[in-house]
This record gives sequence, structure tokens and C-alpha cells, in this order.
Amino acid sequence: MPSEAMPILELSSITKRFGGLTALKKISLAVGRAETCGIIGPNGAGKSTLLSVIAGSVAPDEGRVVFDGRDVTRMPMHRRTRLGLARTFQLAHTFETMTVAENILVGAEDHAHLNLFAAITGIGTDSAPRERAAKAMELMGVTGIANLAASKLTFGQQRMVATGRAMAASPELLLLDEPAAGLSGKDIEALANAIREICNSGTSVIIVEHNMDVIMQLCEHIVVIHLGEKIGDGTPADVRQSERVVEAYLGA
Amino acid sequence: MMPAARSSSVLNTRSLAAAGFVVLAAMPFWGNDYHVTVAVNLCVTLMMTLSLNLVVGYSGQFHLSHVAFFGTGAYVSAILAKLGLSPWLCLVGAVAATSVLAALIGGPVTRLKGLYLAVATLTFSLFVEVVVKQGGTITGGGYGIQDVPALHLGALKLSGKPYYALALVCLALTFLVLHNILASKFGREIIAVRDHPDAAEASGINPPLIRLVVLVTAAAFAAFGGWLHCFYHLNLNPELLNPQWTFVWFFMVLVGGIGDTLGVVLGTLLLSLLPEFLGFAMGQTIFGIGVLMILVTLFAPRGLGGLIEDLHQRSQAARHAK
Repeated sequence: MPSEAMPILELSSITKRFGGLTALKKISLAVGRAETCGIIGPNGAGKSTLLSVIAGSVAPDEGRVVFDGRDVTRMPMHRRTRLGLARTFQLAHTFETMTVAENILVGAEDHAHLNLFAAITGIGTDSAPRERAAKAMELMGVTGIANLAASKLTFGQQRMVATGRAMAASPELLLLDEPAAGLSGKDIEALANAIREICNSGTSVIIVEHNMDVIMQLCEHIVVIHLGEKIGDGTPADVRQSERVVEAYLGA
Repeated sequence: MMPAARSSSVLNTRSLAAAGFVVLAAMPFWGNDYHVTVAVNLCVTLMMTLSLNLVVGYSGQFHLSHVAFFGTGAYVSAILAKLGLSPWLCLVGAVAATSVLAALIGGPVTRLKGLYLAVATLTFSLFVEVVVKQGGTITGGGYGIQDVPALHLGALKLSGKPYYALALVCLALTFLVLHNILASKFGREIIAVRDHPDAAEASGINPPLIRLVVLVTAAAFAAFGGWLHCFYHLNLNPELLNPQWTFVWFFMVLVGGIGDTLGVVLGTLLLSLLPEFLGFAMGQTIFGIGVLMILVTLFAPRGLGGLIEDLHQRSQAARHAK
């Protein structure tokens, strides 16, 4: 039974090998409800693989993924999303022939049921997703470009749209894969504000990010990965003081 | 509305399509039997290209088996009618049987991509053609099926101009339903899966399921077209299943502009009517289409629809410059 005390996400000894390479070695971690957790580590450490294991696009060789008290280790990505686990990608991956508004509407809509009657007749469309999409657009500051095609946007705008699309699903847990990469200083600030607002609304967030300012600013929980192993797990202060972390990543 | 990137175009799809429809619809009523036959065939062809465009244009799957679904629809209609079923109920049977066939083949092939998908579906189409040609007394083998009972509306036997009126209703229905689908949540799911399958899945969409439902939907419309063809001609020839038809429809879609409904209508009108006016035989038509394809690829890579849009944008830009 899910309860307030139970973590929203629990990984237990996740191992993933690609041929001879062990990308993740027995990683365990827990993310609490309404918590903002940062995953950091050098390039090639296995952060994105870990995110993909959580999201469901990569299946682990060993270990379990428990989301909201439910074992989702073998569940495909689209079903995890429907349970409330949304993600973004390192590249924006917008639907390029759609407008900004349509991109975010796709995120807001419930895709668990295919209502062919409504599709054929045009009768019986639900207005709730449009309201959620409008809210997400406002939060990401893209309302002014709602009717532009995604292919006409700058990279920074596409990023905001992709993040908005994930947020429009009103997820319990939001996975952000390097959301600040390639953004200008002003955009990063807007993004950080948006993420803070999501957290305040009770959503848990996991951020994989290289920009340490963003991580230190937003996260109350930091996990450090190095060569596929977890070498640090704690508050920003704990992690900063850990000798192993400083040696491997934060550096001198 | 879809794709919305083009929604700002002056080519207000709805009004232009409506105007074209009225002109197209009216002409054959003053014509002779030949004109009516051309017009009915054109309605069937438009149903085929519009539904093919749903699969290849909007969902981006290169299926080369459309004629197999068309032929299945036509043959199931004829066989059921010969067995004594009401020709109206044959429509239900044809659509149901073809949808089941599409779902069976769709399960495995919608996991394939690009060239593999094209080859697998073309092979399937050839397989259906062989089955029909070797079907013995059921399909009439190489002779086909003759003297299918005609369609009646009350006491009125539907042939000639009344049949053409029915064809227009069927075409309008096809157009309306496909238009509604593209404007719906299902339509957005189709485009999302085409544009970015991974991002679509991350939004909670199941891409293989969407691809399968699109294929079955398009196959159902192909069967609808096959039914309409069957009860106009009342004779079926196995050449109906020749894969060349899939390619002809494909070229109509490409010349018009893939994934652009208005363009597809233009491409179909052009490639259907021009050979009729010029009195071309089938071989000459295929040759003509080949030449046209080269010209379109060189000078209008987005098809006729894209060309008109570009010309309009250029003229608007010139007006702004003044």
C-alpha cells in the first residue's frame, strides 16, 4: 500500500551490462515524495543509463525498480508514464510537425484508451487535458509561441516545450535528463524557477545534470555515480565533503 | 488542422476542398455513361489515396499492400453477394474480413521499418494476389467473378448516375472520417509516433498499437473502396489485385504531397483524369507517371500541395515588400 512515508522510487541493486561493459553496478537508491534528487557524475558514468532504467527504455540485467510501491522492473515505458512517471530526453525530441500547443497537449492527454468513436465522429472530447496543457505552457513560458511549429523553434525553446510536455502529464515523478544543457543563462533561470514550482506542487523530481549551480540550487538530495558505481548519496553538504566524490568528480 | 505547421496557409483546406467537391460532383450528372464510369472510378481512387495517405503520410509507414485490402474488400463483397447476402450487408462483411486480415498481418509487420516493411508488405500483397488467382471456384481463379447481384435502394437499382451519387456519399464519408481522426487525440497520437516514437512512448503512447490501429483503419477504408468498386462493375477480374495499383496510388500521394490531404486530392485528380483525357493505355500512364515523378522530385519535392503553398508565400512576401 502506498503511504506518505514510502519513497516514490526505490532501486535495489540495479546492474546493467552492455556486452563486456558494466554500465551500472549494483546501484540502490531511494527518492522520497516531493523530493528533488540530483544525479551527478563524470561523462560516461552511467547517469543516463540509470535514468533510462528508471523510465523503462532500458531493462536492467539484475535488480528491481519499485515505483510508488509497485514493481515496474519489466513494465514498458508507456505504461510507466501512465502510472505517473514522466521523462525528458537529453535532446529535446519534440514532435516537429506539431505546434507547441499540440506538443504539450499530447503530454497532457491520457493515452491509455483509444476512443475510436470520438476519433471518427469528433464527438466527446475532454477539456481537462487542454486546461492542464495551458497551465504547463504558462509555467514554461511558452504560451506566446503556442501556435508555432516545433521545428521553427530555437534549441532552448524546444527544450522548454519538451519539459512542458512531460510536466503536462501531472506526473508523480519527473525525470529530467540534462535539462539545462545548451540553454542560455536567462533560460536556465526560467527553467530552475519552473522546476522549483513543480517541486512545490508535490511532484518528485530526478535531475541528471552537469551544471552544478543548477543541481546545488535545486536539489536537497544528491547521488553521485562514477564508472557505474554509486560513490555518494546524501545532502549537498554531505556530498561536497565526501573525499571519494571530490576525488572522482568535483575535483580540486 | 493537421499538420498544424500548415494551418496558417491560405489554402483553407476545408473551403477549397468543398468547392472542388461541388464542381467534381456536378459534372458527371450531365455526362454520358463513360463520364459516370470515370467519375465512379475516381471516387474509388480518392478513397484509396486518402486512406493510403493516412498510413504512409500521417503515420509514416511504407506499406505496399493497399491493393490487397482493396481486392479483399471487393472479392469478399462479391462472394457474399453471390451467396445471397444483401449487398448492403456485404459492406459489413467486407470491412470486417479485411480488418481482421490487416490486424493479422499488421501484428508482425508493424514492428518492421523502412525497406523491410516495404518488402514484407509487397510480398504479402503478392501472396493475396496468388491466393485469389488460385482460388478455384470460390474466387473464380483467373476468370474472376461475373454477374454479381446489383445494389438496390428500395425498388431502385443502383447503377449509372444513381450509383455515382452513392459513390459521392461514400467519398464524402471517407473524407469526413479521416478529417475527424486527424483532428482528434488519435490523430495526434499518429503524428507523435511518426515524428518521434521514443518521445511518443515517453508521453504514454504505445507506438506499435497506434501503427497497428492506423493500418487496420486504412485497410477498412480500402475494403470500403473495394465494395464500392464491386457493385458498380458487377464483374471482378483478378488483375484488380495487381500490386501496380498500390504503386499508382502511391505516386498520386507523392505527386500531391505526402501527408497533405489537399495535395493528395490534387495529385489523384491529376493522375486519374489526365490519362483519361489523353486517351492513354495503362503502359503509357505508368510511363507518364514516371516522368511526372521525376519532375516533381526535381521542382516540387513537397508535391503539388507544397508547391502551391510556396508560391503563395512568395507572392505574399512580394506584397509585403511593396
